[in-house]
Amino acid sequence: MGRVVGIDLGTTNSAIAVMEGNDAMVITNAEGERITPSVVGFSKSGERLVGRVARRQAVTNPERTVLSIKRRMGTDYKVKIDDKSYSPQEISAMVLQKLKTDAEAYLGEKITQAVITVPAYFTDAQRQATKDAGKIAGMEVLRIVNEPTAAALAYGLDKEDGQTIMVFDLGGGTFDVSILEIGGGVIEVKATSGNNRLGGDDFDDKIIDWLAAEFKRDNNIDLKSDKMALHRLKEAAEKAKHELSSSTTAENKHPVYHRYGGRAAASGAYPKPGEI
Amino acid sequence: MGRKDKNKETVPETEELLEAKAGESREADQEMVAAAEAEDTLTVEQQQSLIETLQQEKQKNYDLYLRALAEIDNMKKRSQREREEYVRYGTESLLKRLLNVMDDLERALAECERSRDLAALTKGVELTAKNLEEILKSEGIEPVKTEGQPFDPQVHQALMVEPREDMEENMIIEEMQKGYKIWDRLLRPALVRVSG
Repeated sequence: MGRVVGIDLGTTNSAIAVMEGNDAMVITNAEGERITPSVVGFSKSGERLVGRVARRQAVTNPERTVLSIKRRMGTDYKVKIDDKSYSPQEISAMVLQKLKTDAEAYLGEKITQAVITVPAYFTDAQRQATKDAGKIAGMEVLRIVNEPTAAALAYGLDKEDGQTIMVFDLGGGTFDVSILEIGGGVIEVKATSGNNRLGGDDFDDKIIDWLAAEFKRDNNIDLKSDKMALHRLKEAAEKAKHELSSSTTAENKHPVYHRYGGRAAASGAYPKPGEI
Repeated sequence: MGRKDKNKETVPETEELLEAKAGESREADQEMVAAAEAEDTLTVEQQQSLIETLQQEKQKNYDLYLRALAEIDNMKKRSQREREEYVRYGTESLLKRLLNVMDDLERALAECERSRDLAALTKGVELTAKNLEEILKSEGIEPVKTEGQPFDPQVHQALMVEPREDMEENMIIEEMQKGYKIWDRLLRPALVRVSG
């Protein structure tokens, strides 16, 4: 009896889990992380990179790095690298393959079957493409499950007979809202909506903009023009965003240095509290 | 997940014992079936008896299974408790050493307040940094090499690409932020500028 894995093949990030007893356990990848960026890169030497590694070289290799391939599933879109052409399901399969390989290393056993989730609004073509991706990656896809349904099941909501549930899924790059009706052990998706170009990353951007604007107002320096300062801002913005999930203010203190015209101009140790 | 009875009591049986019991039960089944097959036909009473025995076996096996599940659950809980304990207190010795670094910094600040001697402050911070570096090294933390290195996404993260006539492609121009490895794993990538 082989282990069946559950896979969240996301637009920005993906995750893989198994059942341990009565609970689902998310498996850490080779880098020790529970989520794997859904990014595939082909280095100049033709080496295939998947996940965090692919992310790190994206800037040096934009034409050969594939992001958000989920947006192209079920279409005829082709990724052309060197003299090869890849379909979206082949690219997705590369992500699935890494998830599978890392999970097998962690579990110490082979994985042959999987359940993969898709957005409730996915068409038949998109669902089939996802199934194909699983097959290419060497797994038998037992079921394609709707993401909001999977969420409802994870919380045991399928026991709530005669209930109408709203599932609010705000991811890294997409925002999906679904209305589910539960009855007689069946979960039915009644309606879906959302914005598939809105996600946590956009919230980060807004905070970055605000921080940079405040700084500019006080110091007349545009932090966003300096890639290193921008990186620090991004980290600070994400951290502040996390803190604001549980408190009404977040404080931001960082020494900020800005390269201005090739020379390092230390803008001082700026304790710049950003109260939101 | 819809399981009717959750037997949550801790069971002292070990894995070997469970296996032995399962083994016994298997043997008993096999004996019974063999005995039944030895006869050409079974009387109704014999069939009834066989059914009853099999039902008892089934119930016993089901109970064993439930206990095994409960045991896994308890083991997980215990493991989780131990992990939390370790996460909380496991870094005690490292933290003690870091307290020394804190002492040095506080001393440096106090001295700076008092004498405003930049040279002395610089020296103090330098020594503190070296001390911290040694502590980190002993915990397996080593900086990632960047100078004169080709860009390697396994340990470097490219912040930007710059066309450079005087350099080969895909080489690191400058390290913007140090990267670190912990033993054999990447802890944090070095942020670099790459030639393109």
